[in-house]
Amino acid sequence: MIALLVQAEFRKLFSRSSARLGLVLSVVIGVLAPALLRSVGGGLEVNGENLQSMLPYHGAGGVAWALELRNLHILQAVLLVLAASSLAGELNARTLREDLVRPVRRDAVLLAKWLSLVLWDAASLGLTLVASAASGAALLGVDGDWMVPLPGYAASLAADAGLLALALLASIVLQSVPAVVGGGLLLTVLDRFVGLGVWGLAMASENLGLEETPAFLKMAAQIWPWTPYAAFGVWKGYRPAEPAPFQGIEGAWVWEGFVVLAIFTVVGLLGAKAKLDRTDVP
Amino acid sequence: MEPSEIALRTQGLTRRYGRREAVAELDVSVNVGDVYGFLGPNGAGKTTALRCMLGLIRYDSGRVEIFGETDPVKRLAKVGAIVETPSFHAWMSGRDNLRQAAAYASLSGAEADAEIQRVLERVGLTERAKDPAGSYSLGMRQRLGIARALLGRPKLLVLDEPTNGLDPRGMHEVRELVRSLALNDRITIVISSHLLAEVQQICNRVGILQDGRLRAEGSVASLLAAGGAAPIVDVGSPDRAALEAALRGMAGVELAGMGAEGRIRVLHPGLDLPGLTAALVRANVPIDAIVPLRRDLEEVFLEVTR
Repeated sequence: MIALLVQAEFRKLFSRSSARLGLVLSVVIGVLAPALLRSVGGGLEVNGENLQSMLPYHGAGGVAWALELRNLHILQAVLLVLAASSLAGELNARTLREDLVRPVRRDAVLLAKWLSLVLWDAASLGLTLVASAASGAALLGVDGDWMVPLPGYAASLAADAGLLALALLASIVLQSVPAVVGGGLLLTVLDRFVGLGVWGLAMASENLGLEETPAFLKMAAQIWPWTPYAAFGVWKGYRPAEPAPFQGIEGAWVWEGFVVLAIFTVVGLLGAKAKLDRTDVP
Repeated sequence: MEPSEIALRTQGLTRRYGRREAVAELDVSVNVGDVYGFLGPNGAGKTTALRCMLGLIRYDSGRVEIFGETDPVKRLAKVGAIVETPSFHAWMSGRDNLRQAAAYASLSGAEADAEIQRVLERVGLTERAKDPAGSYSLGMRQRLGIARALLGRPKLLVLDEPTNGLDPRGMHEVRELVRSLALNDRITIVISSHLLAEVQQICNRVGILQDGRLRAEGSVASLLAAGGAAPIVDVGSPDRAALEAALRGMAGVELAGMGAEGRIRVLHPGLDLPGLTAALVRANVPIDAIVPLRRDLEEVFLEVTR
């Protein structure tokens, strides 16, 4: 039954113009990122050194840049729109009511919606990966370790799955598409600033070389891996130690981030289920 | 009545909004094969009650049983429903909307395709099935809604105000469809409406709701017969003065003013219709019309909800 519902929800999702636009955007990002990398590297010098030598200036680098560009709140915004439309939007448009007068459990409907959104995200990541690989190979050559960015794509799917679960929870609580999308974007941007702040403090506690590290810096170092910023940024773990500018910046897998993501996913889905079960459907 | 003969039954169904009881201690019973009219003025609680029955909203107390099943999900297995105006994904075609609904009715593949074709033909929408649902007229949307409700061959169809907002032709089409579904497809139908003439035309049993409470329930015939009101006829004659004089002289007869088309309206509580006719013949009054006026559901409704 759940497979049938996921299929139906995915078919419906794919028929939405916003979802199709999102997939087109995924391809465009894949094509543009290597071109951007190529244009940035062209003949620029920093401190007398050619910028090209500091960048991952090869096809595999283009694939990595596509992932970076994609996760610069662009696809997150699309995911928020899709998640909000599929639950809050359908609740307001009364189309959810038409599904719920059938003998299906509400948690099955919710799970089907979430899985179809995750499937869409996987398709989007796949398109970006393929488009950036093709564009990267054509514009930057086939050098570089092509396997390096792949775990980043997989981890990005995990991060997006957590975001989608929370977006579904917000959808059923707020019951408004603009509130979910606007609030979600605001929170992700705020999270970026707070997360970077905490990360900066954590880095400072490691690198300042003080005789005695202040307590708040120690605390920041301990807290940072458990922040939503670290969780939604787990995909950055693919970044290699070389070359710069990524050296030393979050270039390692943060396992705590995966734990937080798992918690977000479970809390999001169970919370949405509990709220949906108690919601009067108009 | 045996439990197996009951299609839908509620016992003590109560839903409160704050301190207000939108539905109060509602005991409704719909037999298999009924076309049951759920009547009530606007705000009487009809839609709230139907939503409770369909599991769309929670109820504070009571019990809902559909074909003997009380589980909120399982009891919908044999039910098709339209609640208020049916909603669709406007950008998807009528057929694709039905395909979505088919999945929720556990239908897939060739079985779903065949069932979608069947219901489209049943409501006469095959030719427009490829068009976006957003381009449909209100009447077509209503028919598509009924088609969706018919997916999976339900045994009970719940229709909430199915002719609301339709033009006379659309209302007629939906009424004929409902009648045909009951007669030919043998589907038990619960239809909520405040259009009393419509209900009287197509329903065999009714329940009248007011302020969330069931004020009367029974067959249309029994409700029309109940109440003890005097029978009424309109009597016409080319010699109106002679007719009036004759009527005034009859026992068990009361004049009740002007009837339709200039006839005299007559209450005849003490004389049956053949007796009244015979008395007029004996009085040698020329008669050109005797029209018995039947009590209609509107009168019953007004009495019950007074």
